[in-house]
Amino acid sequence: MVSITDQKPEPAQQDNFECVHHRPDSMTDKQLHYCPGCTHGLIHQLVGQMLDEFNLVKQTVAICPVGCAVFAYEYFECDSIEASHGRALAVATAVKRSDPSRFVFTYQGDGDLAAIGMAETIHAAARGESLTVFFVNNGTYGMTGGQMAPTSLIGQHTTTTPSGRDPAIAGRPIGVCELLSSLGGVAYLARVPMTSPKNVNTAKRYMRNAIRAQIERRGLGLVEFLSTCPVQWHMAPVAAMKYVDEKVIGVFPPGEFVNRLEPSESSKEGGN
Amino acid sequence: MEGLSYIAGARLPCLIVNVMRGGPGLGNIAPSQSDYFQACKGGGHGDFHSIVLAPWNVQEMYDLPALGFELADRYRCPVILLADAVLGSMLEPALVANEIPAIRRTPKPWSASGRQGRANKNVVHSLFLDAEELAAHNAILQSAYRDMRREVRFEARLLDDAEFAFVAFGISARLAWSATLQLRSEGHRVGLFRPITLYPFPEIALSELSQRISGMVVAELNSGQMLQDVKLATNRSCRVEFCGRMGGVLPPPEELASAMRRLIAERPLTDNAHAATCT
Repeated sequence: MVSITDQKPEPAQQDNFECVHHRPDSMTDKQLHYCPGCTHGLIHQLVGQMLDEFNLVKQTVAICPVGCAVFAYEYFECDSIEASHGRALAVATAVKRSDPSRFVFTYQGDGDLAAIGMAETIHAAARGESLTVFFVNNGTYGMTGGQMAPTSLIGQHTTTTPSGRDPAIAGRPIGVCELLSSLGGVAYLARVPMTSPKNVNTAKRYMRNAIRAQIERRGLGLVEFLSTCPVQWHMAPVAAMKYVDEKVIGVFPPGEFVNRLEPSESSKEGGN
Repeated sequence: MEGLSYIAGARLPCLIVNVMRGGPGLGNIAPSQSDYFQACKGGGHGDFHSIVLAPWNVQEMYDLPALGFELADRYRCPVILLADAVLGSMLEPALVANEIPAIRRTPKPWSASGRQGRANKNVVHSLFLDAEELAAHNAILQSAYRDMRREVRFEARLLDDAEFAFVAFGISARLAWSATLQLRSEGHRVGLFRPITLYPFPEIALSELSQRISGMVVAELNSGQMLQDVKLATNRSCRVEFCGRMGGVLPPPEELASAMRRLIAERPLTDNAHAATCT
């Protein structure tokens, strides 16, 4: 088997190529540990691109989660704090309030943000903390073995709902964007499936707005990424993408839920 | 407790004030000292300690937090101020400096506060998946705990000529001091040993004391928690008896004095020194 590093072009050949895409400067060179078909790596790359684009890396403090992205602090060049499970927005609040000049974002999964950390999430939103949240919703506890999450769909087979999620026993999925929409402290709230180049461009537009929410001190900015977990869903990567587009968005409709930002030139044009 | 463990693992300085109430569970809001184990023996998972300071009056409630912040910064660990519901609500005179000393800001080159001009990023975390790496991290923590030994603080009252001593902290030490004065007035040579740092525990001073006196009464508002540390420190050099109340009951000083009189008369307090009451 040939490793990727063996396939690097010779230096002489390299001169003939133009670099059209590179790893964001705000990311380290460390190889990502995520499973094939998972969109964490893609979302990490978008976060890195945003830190580059807004030139934020030197003033950023990233609050990393417990779960699949527990090693997020190894992939970004910014200062980072590993919060305990669910407490990212409480830690982020402390960092931001102690030095409001810092850009503070949390990167959290659905088990982290919507289960053990739901109280922190709701109250940070209710307080209108000027923070940016990147919320990766894959509908399961990916790292710990595929248990049911608050976001698992009705009928979804997980290790703790082997016959499918039965609402009579296990309740119904929590829509985080729907839930937070009622809170006045939220400045920006949007959901996007990570299933196509078009959607990735939409995600970038949403992320810019969630970052602006903090920079302009308007309140909480949150982007929910509908992600995949091919390993725990027992699906091939392409089938997992299809599942998001056909099933997941039926329960978690994409789009902007709250936008209390002043319109910017780029958002007016719908730029990417 | 999970948070405390994370703080210790990530080597973050902080001061936590625990004004102890009756427990376990919701318990009540009456004075208690039943969180001694929780504060001094870790509380969360992992091999860690917090420095534990035990004030016994309003003056120390005022003075010890400044020391607590200083020690937390020096050893990069949590510091717990362990008070109780009496100290938390009592009024009494205290001396306050006319000018509050300027805050000494300890440099924190390790903090994750945004890189700015720094070449390398800082990461605050307590995750070490590699066992050898975690072992090395634990060794750093243990080294700090050894260094903390120099921070041992205690107060010795009327112990120079004492034959017997009360060992008590916080509000129990106030009761024990009243009992000490009563017993002195009766001609008994009794003193008070009051740990101010419960961790690190003043075990050497207590060990030395135990070798020159006949016996001790450990007084606590619990079922005998510091008692275990006292027994370890004294290592059977002298008799150690216990007098305590649980559930938020504050015993009158006479109850402690009575326990001491029984010890002095060389009569056992109860069949079981761990028994909760000494009546």
